Amino acid sequence: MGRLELRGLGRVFGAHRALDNVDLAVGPGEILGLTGPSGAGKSTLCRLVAGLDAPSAGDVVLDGTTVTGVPAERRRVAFMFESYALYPHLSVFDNVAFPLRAPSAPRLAPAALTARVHELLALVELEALAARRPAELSGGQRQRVALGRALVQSPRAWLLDEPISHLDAKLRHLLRGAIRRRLVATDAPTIWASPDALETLAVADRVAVLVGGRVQQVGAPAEIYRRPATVDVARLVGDPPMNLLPGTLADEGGRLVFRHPALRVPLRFTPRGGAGSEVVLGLRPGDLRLVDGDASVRGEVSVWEPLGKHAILTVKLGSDVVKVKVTQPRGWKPGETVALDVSAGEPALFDAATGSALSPST
Amino acid sequence: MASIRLERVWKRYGPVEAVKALSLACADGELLALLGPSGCGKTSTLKMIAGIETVSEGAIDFGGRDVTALDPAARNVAMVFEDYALYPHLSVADNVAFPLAVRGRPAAETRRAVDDVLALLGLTSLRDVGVRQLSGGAQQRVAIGRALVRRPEVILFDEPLSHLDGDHKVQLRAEIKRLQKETGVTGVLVTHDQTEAMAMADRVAVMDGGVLQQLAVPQALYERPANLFVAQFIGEPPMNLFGATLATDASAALTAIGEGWRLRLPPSVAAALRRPLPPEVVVGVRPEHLTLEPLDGAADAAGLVGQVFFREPRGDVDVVLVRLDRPHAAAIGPLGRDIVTVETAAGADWTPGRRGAVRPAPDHLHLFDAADGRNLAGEDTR
Repeated sequence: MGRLELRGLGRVFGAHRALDNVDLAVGPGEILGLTGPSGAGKSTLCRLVAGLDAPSAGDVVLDGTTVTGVPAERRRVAFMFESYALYPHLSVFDNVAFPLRAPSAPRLAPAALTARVHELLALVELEALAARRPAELSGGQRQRVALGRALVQSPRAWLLDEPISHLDAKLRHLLRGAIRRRLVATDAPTIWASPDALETLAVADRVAVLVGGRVQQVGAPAEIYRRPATVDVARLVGDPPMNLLPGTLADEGGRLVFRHPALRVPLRFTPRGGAGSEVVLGLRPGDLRLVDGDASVRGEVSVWEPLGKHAILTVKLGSDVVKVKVTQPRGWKPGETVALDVSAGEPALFDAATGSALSPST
Repeated sequence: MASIRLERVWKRYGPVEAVKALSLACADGELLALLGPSGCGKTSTLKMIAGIETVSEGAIDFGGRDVTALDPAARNVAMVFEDYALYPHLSVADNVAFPLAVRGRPAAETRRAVDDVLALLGLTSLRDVGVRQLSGGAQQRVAIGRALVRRPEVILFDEPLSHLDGDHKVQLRAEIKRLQKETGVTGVLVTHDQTEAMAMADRVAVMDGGVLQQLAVPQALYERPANLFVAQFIGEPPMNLFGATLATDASAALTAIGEGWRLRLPPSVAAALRRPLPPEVVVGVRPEHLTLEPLDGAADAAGLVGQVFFREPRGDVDVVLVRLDRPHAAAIGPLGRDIVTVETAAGADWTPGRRGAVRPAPDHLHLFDAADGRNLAGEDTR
């Protein structure tokens, strides 16, 4: 019970391969985060799982049974659309109650139905607005109605497509916790899609990163953050994401060193390929430190962005730029020279040709 | 280039007052952000500066020239929109050249101006590419080029980054700031996103309900928010707020007393407060200025004590939500209830259900008057 599998799932629109051979499995009560840039195939995947669209290849399997040909209304998958799709003539209460009153839903006594709807309205902080119509609500409030209408169900699987993207920061933090508790209390597997990689890291047990219709990496949040499998994943994760610098590997007295016109970084491991390889070095903005005096790495500040608890400096290193997260309260002017320590943290290394992470050779 | 000045400007739509007595000035060469939630009046303000909305009352001037009654065309203002609004069938260069071409400028002059702008934007190699083939970020750079090419006195940016994905957004926001500084054009940016406003603008005007709440440099908004609205709007995750009363303890030190907790204010915080002190205050603490300590076994039940409700890993830090034992301890809490948000080191073992004590860093307390919401340390006018 409670297992969702995608087997070799593909969807082609004309010449465009929107989804390409996707294999994923989500276990009972598990939340799988699905992230990727816009156009990566996240919504296409959700629509195939919900049964709103048919795959060009592969299958959707729920609890061991292939449901690929089963119409949406018989799959019992609770799908929250990004576009909300609320019923304009119904109140907030009746919109949320709608799935419970559907002919296919198990009959509930009126008192039980009312209690259930109010429980959900409390969860999405809409109790005070129960009598309003969707037209009288803000965008964020409408999104919460749609969320309530999805969460009121007892489905075989949950599909949430950008469920909290239009809420303000305060509510997002509260609802992440509240929704997660609701979802994991059931047996049903969940796919939570969002272009905001940090949101999926925050709510999911595992995260799948989709780029160009293909799964680039599936892993625990910490793994996605610490060891991105490809350059594309590295580009999506972090605030701001990892700096990516092209360079070559050189042998310096028996030790492999990453070389870029503006900096050199000794490696702590020997990757496949070795000296002479064209690579991309990944440096996290928080791992770069500004230091006083002479340092081997010097760059010119091009932009200073003060964000309150920290600031982001954009620093020119030769023909490339890096972003540096700094906590010093002072300001910087464009054109100022700064010295950087690049030895902290754990840099990532990617093959320049394939974009794949280079791991130690065995 | 010009400075911009709004003098007691009102915008009324029938009975609705969208902008109320707004006075502000943007210096020549400055980038000023108008920031606030939807309906705060920021877009109406931008449209009045552009001249595409009339001013109901008050005056707008550019560099001392009253433009209140002037058409948009007579103001020499360029606009950059959230959806780029490019000509999809034209190339990059032709889009940028468009404002000059329609004004019938000589071809050689147009060509030179377009070349300069493309070089500035790093778009030279894409000059003959159709704009439809470009990414959203590149399209918005073309739109900025089209705005810059006719050397406007003022550029107005209306949510310029809201259609872009994370990384493109981060790149372009720095790019716009660089371009604005290099060209020295005066800019006004409208956004609902505090990060964008803080990152890009020299100063930020925070608006709510048509009223200016605070106008200050980004760091001042963060370090000394003028009132509770700004305190809660700026900062991610938002500031924690606790209801309290003020009293003087035996050693004459000012102490904040809440439901089940008390906190002696350090002299540096106490000395900055405006007198007379109000009876009821709100104490604000940002999540990164709180620490969470494990409560093992029979620890004290006093203070800000509770149970972990949710832990959000964010990569370099974790955000931990703690539900306090005493429901009124954070009556005005960050989430309007009994939940406190704490930023902890990444990977700390704060699984839901664990108990802990929340401790604020005393030097980083903000105090507000509970009656009118104003910061008791006064306004920072940097």
